Amino acid sequence: MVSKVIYTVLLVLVSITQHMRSEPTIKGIVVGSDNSPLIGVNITLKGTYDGTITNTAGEFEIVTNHPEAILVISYIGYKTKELLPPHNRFLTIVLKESVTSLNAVTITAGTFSAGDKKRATVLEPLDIYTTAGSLGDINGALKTLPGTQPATDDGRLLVRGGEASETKVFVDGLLAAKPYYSKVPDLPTRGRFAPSLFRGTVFSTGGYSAEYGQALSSILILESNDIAVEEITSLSLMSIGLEASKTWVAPNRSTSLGLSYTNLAPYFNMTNNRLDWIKPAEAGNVNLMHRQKKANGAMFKCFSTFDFGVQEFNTLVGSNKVNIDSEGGNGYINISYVTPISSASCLKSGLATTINRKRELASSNRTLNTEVYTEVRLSIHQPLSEGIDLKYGVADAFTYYQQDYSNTLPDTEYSTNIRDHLAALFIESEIHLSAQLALRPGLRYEYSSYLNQSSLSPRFAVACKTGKNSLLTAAWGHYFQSPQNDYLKYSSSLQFEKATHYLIGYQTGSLTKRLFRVEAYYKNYQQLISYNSLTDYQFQKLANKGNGFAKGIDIFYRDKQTLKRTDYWFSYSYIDTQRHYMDYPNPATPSFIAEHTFSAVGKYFLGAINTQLGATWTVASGRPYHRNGDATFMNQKAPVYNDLSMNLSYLTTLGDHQTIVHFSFSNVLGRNHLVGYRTVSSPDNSGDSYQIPLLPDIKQFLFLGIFISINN
Amino acid sequence: MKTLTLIFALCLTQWMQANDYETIMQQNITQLYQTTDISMINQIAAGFQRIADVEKDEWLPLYYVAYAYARSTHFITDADSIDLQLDKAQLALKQLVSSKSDESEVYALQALVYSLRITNPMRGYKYSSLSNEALAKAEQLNAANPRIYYCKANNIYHTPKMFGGGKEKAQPLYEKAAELFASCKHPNQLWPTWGSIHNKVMLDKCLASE
Repeated sequence: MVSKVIYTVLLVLVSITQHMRSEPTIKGIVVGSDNSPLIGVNITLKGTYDGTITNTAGEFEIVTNHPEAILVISYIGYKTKELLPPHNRFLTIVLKESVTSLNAVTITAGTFSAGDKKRATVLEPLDIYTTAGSLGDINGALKTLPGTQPATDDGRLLVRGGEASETKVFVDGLLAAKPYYSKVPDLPTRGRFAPSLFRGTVFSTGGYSAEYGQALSSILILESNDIAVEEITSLSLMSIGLEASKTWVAPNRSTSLGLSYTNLAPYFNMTNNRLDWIKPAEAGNVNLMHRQKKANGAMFKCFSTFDFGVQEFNTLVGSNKVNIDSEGGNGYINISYVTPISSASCLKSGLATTINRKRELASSNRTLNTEVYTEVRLSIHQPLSEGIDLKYGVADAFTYYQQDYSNTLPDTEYSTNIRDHLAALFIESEIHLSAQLALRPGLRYEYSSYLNQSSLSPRFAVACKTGKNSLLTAAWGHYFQSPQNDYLKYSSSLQFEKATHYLIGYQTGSLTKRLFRVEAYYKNYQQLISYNSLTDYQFQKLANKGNGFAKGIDIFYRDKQTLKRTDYWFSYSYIDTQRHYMDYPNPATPSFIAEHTFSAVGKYFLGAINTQLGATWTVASGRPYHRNGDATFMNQKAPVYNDLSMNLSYLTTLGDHQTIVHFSFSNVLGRNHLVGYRTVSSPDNSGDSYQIPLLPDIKQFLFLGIFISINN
Repeated sequence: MKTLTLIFALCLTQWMQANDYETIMQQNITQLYQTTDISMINQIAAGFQRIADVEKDEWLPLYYVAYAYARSTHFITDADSIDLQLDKAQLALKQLVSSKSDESEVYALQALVYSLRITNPMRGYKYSSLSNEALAKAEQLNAANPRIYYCKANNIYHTPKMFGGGKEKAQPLYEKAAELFASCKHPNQLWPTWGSIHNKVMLDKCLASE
């Protein structure tokens, strides 16, 4: 009987315990600071297995037998919250966004980047190859972005009213002083660095960070590849030359060697050239890269490239035939070492040196340039507290420039040289006041030993998130740059040229779907180089009395979503700029400026035949030029520039090896690309001057390449 | 008295069960393989995470966090959402690689996660290289892990022929994986088992087209 009673009592007890165990529940809702429900938030009772995640309404309910445990509410990108759950009450929990979250605002003012997963990204690394008309040149692809000028007669980047020399290129944060092959008059040049050597590109069209200087308009930062993971041998056969490269891989390190040879002679034998070529461009290039990672995460990178090239042609100046013969060699070595100095901060150190030698004969004028640029840089990146990062550093850029000039008619000879140490200090902080608002104040100091002059440039950028994928951003800053060597070689009593940038932009959407971006800017130039005339190899009244302004609007729209297998983007730039500099008699729009520029880039992938088709269409309004004898300066306009370029890439196999056949065709419509006239003085030094048309050497360019990857 | 002991034991087991690591793990694993519902999988992944937070000495809970998120992508089509789930998987894997760096299964799962990143052909090269690198490491640690060959085979199967992939090259690896799936003995009940069924499906696909 007793046992029966106990039995019953116990049975009741068991059911009570069971009942009780399912009884205590904790219920509530989790919302963000804007009161919207957060879905998938982790709710855990600390130290137990009990918990849940919030549903699509942001609500949760936990049944637990540990009601005394601390409730932990955590969510990626938000600050974790802990609380003691009160009994029998519906909880409303507000989570604050963490300022370090991936979704937190990024300052994108003026910046276009090509990379993997960055917020300011507008291009993917492969875009550089697949953009029609770019001909495998990084700058070619960047020229389809707003803010740049098409400039077929130059080939370098001309950004927001700035001259080509106002854009500086950096590789892994270090100066690349000669990023382009030597330019000869009237012919466009190309970037020296092959796009395959880089994994990311950051192109700033203005308002850039205090970490960099000596560029009035813009900077382009190339990030070289990381350690390669696969051994690859590749071979390229092209209508203009050959390339071969090999990569060796070992754990935590890789080394690659590339060789290339370019010769335009076979191609020019089949084309109709405007210039009379005697020795079409012929060049050889070697590049060597090494990357090594240490156990503590420190990364050593060495990047070097060496080339040598020659070319000779005759061109007409008036009725005189002028012979231009140039040859030059260049070496670039870039060594960087990034090492962690604590769990969160790191020390970046680096050295980059460029050695360039170029000999040019233009009829009786002989010029020999020897240039050395070496930059040493040391910087520390450290987080101060949550949401505040600090970067500071020091750099010295040494310039050695030597020019030997001689002329046989009349017999003249002179030599000039420049030696300059440009020392720089910078400090910059990125402050996330909240996940929606970020500030980037910075300060840069520079001192030039040659000019015996210093500058202090304050810079400031801000970004504010206005929605999940949209933001407003603005930047302001002072930018200084030493005058070009062409002026410095005559005088050291000059000053830095100066530009002040103001810009404001709005961006919405994402690169994977649709991205829209608009940016308006105003730039004010002061202390630009001015002179009266160039007579007897001397600039008369060379000074920093020039000034100017540039204002405009840049629009970019990219869409990968609307049309299947199609990716396209549109860029439009409007610019209003005038400069009163060099020997301009009055303020005028420089000859390299097109007021309106529009480009459309499209890519379509035909999966069935493994082929990608691409087209780039660029239209730009006519550029101004001055006609000798006109009463008003720069009163003429060149015709509208209209170019359609197409390309085709076909993926296939050759034997067992992956092969890409690439064909590209520029100026498909066969338009006459006259962009203006250039005034040159008569080669016989008679004092006469002639105007020569700025026209491409060949109207249309066809390129065929076969790229083979040999996997081991 | 006998009944008393019985009832007492009953109470005890019930109480024990709720806290039993192995039982709860087993329940979650079974549920994971049964569902195709994303919110359910997320719920299960969060459950594994809670166990991982308590059982700091066990690596399998964290392993299943990563696997659950990786598995969820089979039932998602939107590329951005896939990335989001894989980001969560990668977060767990990152901890695992440092805390359980000698386990072949960890690297096999890492390889799977990298392969799943290939949501468009542009990503093919990068992520298949990373995946193969992880598989090499997994093989070095335990060459008898069938999932290595299953993943390798998948990578090759889905690589276009011109890039050195294709059915013919994948088949011998599916065969090797099948043998190992049949012969391998798991050290415990909770050990990963994924791949065996799909491996058979893929092998049949290869054989059918011969």
